[in-house]
Amino acid sequence: MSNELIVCVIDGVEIFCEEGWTILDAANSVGIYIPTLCYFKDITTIGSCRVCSVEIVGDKLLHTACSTPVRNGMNVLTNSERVTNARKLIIEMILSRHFGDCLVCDASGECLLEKYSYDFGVSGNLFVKNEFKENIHGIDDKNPLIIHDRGKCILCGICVKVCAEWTHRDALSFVNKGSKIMVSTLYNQGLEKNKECIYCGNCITSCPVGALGEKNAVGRGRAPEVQKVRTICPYCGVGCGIVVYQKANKIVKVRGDLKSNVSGGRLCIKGKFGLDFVNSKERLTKPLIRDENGNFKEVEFIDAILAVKHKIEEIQRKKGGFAGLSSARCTNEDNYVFQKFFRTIIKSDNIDHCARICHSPTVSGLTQTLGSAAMTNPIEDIERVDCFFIIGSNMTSSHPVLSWKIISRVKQGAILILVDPRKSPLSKYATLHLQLNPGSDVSLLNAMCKIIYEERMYDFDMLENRTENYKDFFKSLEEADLDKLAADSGIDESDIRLAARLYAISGASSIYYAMGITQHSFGTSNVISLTNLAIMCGKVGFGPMGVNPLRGQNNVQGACDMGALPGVLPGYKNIENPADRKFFEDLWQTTLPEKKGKTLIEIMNAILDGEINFLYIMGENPVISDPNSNKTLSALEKVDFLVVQDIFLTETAALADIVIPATSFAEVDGTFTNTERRVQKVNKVIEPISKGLVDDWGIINKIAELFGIDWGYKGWKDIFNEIKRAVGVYSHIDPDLLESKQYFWPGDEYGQSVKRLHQNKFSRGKAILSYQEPNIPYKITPEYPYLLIIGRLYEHYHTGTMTRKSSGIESLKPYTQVYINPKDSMKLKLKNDDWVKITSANGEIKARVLISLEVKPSNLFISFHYKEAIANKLTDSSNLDALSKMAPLKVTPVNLEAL
Amino acid sequence: MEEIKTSNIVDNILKKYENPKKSDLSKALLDAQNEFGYLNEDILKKISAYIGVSATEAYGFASFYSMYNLEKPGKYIFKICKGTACHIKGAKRLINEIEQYLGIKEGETTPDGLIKLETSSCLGVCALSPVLIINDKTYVRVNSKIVKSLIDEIRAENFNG
Repeated sequence: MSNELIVCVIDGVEIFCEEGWTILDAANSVGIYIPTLCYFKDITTIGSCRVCSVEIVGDKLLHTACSTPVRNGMNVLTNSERVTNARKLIIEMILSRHFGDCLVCDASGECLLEKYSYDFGVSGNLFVKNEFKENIHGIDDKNPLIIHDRGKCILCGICVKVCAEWTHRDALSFVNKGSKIMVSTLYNQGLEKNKECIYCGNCITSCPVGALGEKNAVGRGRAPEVQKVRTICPYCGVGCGIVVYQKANKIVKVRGDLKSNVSGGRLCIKGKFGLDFVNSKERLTKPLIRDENGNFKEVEFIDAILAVKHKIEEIQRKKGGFAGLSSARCTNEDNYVFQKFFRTIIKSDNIDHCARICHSPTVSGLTQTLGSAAMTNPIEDIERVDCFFIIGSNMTSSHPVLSWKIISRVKQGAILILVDPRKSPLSKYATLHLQLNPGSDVSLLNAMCKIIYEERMYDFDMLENRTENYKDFFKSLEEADLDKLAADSGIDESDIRLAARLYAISGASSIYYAMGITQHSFGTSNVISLTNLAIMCGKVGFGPMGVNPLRGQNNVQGACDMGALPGVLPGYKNIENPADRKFFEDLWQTTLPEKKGKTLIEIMNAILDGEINFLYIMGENPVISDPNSNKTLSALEKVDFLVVQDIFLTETAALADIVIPATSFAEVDGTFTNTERRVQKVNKVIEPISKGLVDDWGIINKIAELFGIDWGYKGWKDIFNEIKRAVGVYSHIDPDLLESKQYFWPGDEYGQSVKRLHQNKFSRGKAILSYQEPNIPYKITPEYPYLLIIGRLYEHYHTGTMTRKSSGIESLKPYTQVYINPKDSMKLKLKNDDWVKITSANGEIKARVLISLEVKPSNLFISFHYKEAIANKLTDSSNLDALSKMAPLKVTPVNLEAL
Repeated sequence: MEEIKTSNIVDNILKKYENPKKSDLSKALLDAQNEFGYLNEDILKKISAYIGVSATEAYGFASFYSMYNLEKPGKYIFKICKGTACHIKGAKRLINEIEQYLGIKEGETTPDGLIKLETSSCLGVCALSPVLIINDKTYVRVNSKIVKSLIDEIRAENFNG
């Protein structure tokens, strides 16, 4: 049956069909156009609008093309008189309950109903409208972001399905029946009062008419006069495609890019509503320099970079130290030029960026065990995974679009094992949620390995053929004490056993992890323990199974690839290795520093010790993002000369000696590399908002020119072509084809992208299993009786520089809240929104309280987005991970007092 | 306290559905309605979470069927006949006037939860039209003056009591 050949004829064209195709699929495959209204890709077919009706020869009735499967020998007419007449009538009927005025509608020009009315010559005058009018329930616009005009709604149901199937929120539903039917929320309370709505705006992207729209885009421009540009979202590492609408050099609105291979049109609140910052009035337009009194004054660009040059020369004469912080927010080209400038002109290897306090343990851990420190699998593999092991990732907040794909898969029946001390929103979907003690990951993972060893659930072929030293590992496991490991992790042995069995026995198990694993002073141990588990069960290096670190920022993968790390030359070449160094000395025609430079936190310490006198920060805000803010602050105040290159006067830029304004992602061409190693093209949406603004790499290039060095960069492509030569894994990428072809790094010998790493052979040859002794767990003391977990919120991003400029998002989450368990709040007699003081050994902050069952008793949670309550004032920067120099950012023992 | 009591009663109702299927939603909602007289947000959320559908979907479902009351019903339900005979005798005007007097529309309940205004099709006492039924009691040959005085009476009674 399944091998039967299906051949159908549509409008005289013979089409060879695949099993399960509908008439619409078949027609699309050969480019025959059938109009649709309620059809939308990636959701279950609705088939209610009937606009796609077609005639099947020999059949009395007309059929909907979107929902009728093709049969062998079917003869379909899509354009017969019968079909056209039927469509006309259908559109007339839809128009009879469509109370929109196209003259003032924002969707005009893109509205499908408007298009079909025109195509079929239908005016909407055939039926009387008035009898419906009383049942149309007006406009819901009480929330800050979305406007919902039910009068324009044609009841196609796409938004209801998208809400339920893309984002799994179910904020919208059909309510009532008959002529009173409408799309509404729970008890018609509107989106504002509805806790389910997360303002992702996917309903707007999918609405075929103008019933749903962006509130702040009303009246600001529509189809013929706006210009639409495809580019990549500048927020998290998922790298969703966006279509930006611009008019008069201002961003009007953003829609999901339905053609994006990553997201297929899905967006979260940040990508959808968080781009207001580009046209913000607070953007820097002129370089700022300190005058005699220490106040900023505006200067011309050339004066600013000359001052930078003179200062560099002065400090070079004094034999002072240099350091530079690159940025995971900037393009690959920016990062490449930045590190090249530092290494070839300043001759310093003290370059780092925020990956240090993000995924550096992943780099040190995964390179040791597997040989490559990136996601082993592309995001599309989620659809083939049977068992997700998600540990230390609050992905519904940090990587929303990716999390929705995982939830979709879980709803199809995949198992989800969630390991998280907090009851994060993902726990609702978890088959098994292990609420471990914060920081006891190694104990838990070792316990799982021991159980798998005892019950012989490991993959012998993998261990024998593809690993080096599994016998030592087994010996360590034999000696481990399961009871103690379980007790340390705070989870019942039976639950650990269940998790181990589920993971080991499920067909395709895959690990996803993020900051909960890495941001500890034992982050590398955590990562290695995770790979132990995966290698032991043979759940890596084969098909969709793997170990997947979720990168936090849009281009953190790229910034690492470009060598914005101390000791790491582009393409992960070692600066201390003479051969690697020689390669780059030849390429760049210069000499390079021979010794590995300092890491982020070491740079701050070196400033305080007087070893580093010059710090150049490109697009980072370490005051808020780095551990122990008070120390960072004093370092930045102490350093002799601080240059900050940013789009806003951030908390860090406010301390600078020179601030150089840069362009945002919307004003540049370049590339981002997302979490799955996919290199994507970033397109210029608008011209720089102010005349003198220069790209990040352009600024560095100009300074290099002042030093008499001409790299010959005229545009991003020149730099990219050099990157192709410098970074081996990028060599197969053709910059001209970035938009039409999918590129992952690395490339194979035929120049094809390798989507899945370690297939058949690990990057380092054979994998290494290495038993990690459990670390000393975080201890609460009478002085600091709570463990504070620091993380992210769904609405905001990182240091808040960008999302907090969006008035809509800001009004949803205007201030930070510390989550506290009801047991603790009762003890302290706290109510919601009461002010508290949180103190740690390093500092104190004030915040408001949110009583929540998300956190366990004696645990607290706070986000670090808010400059009003800098959570990193509490964190410690002295106890670093030995290998990766990661600071324990995730968990801090604190005290909490009511104010 | 009231909420906890409600929650416990709902728990008891849900005990009947040990391995809930989606199709149990209608029965569970009906059981709860029989207990409370109507379905409020908390009840709906609790039941839908137990059955495994989203609250919004359950609300959409319940709003489709007229047998579910999604608002707290008034203590007194006014049913005014809209049948042919009553219509000729001025039922439409009567309804308009009562609507104005109560400050609500047909099908709604007064904000104090006292009176719900409904209309019905022919009640079969056309000779005595127009007809009004308040809860189980029938009033015949009513006019707006009579109805207004009835409303005043009800209000006074409940205000004092």
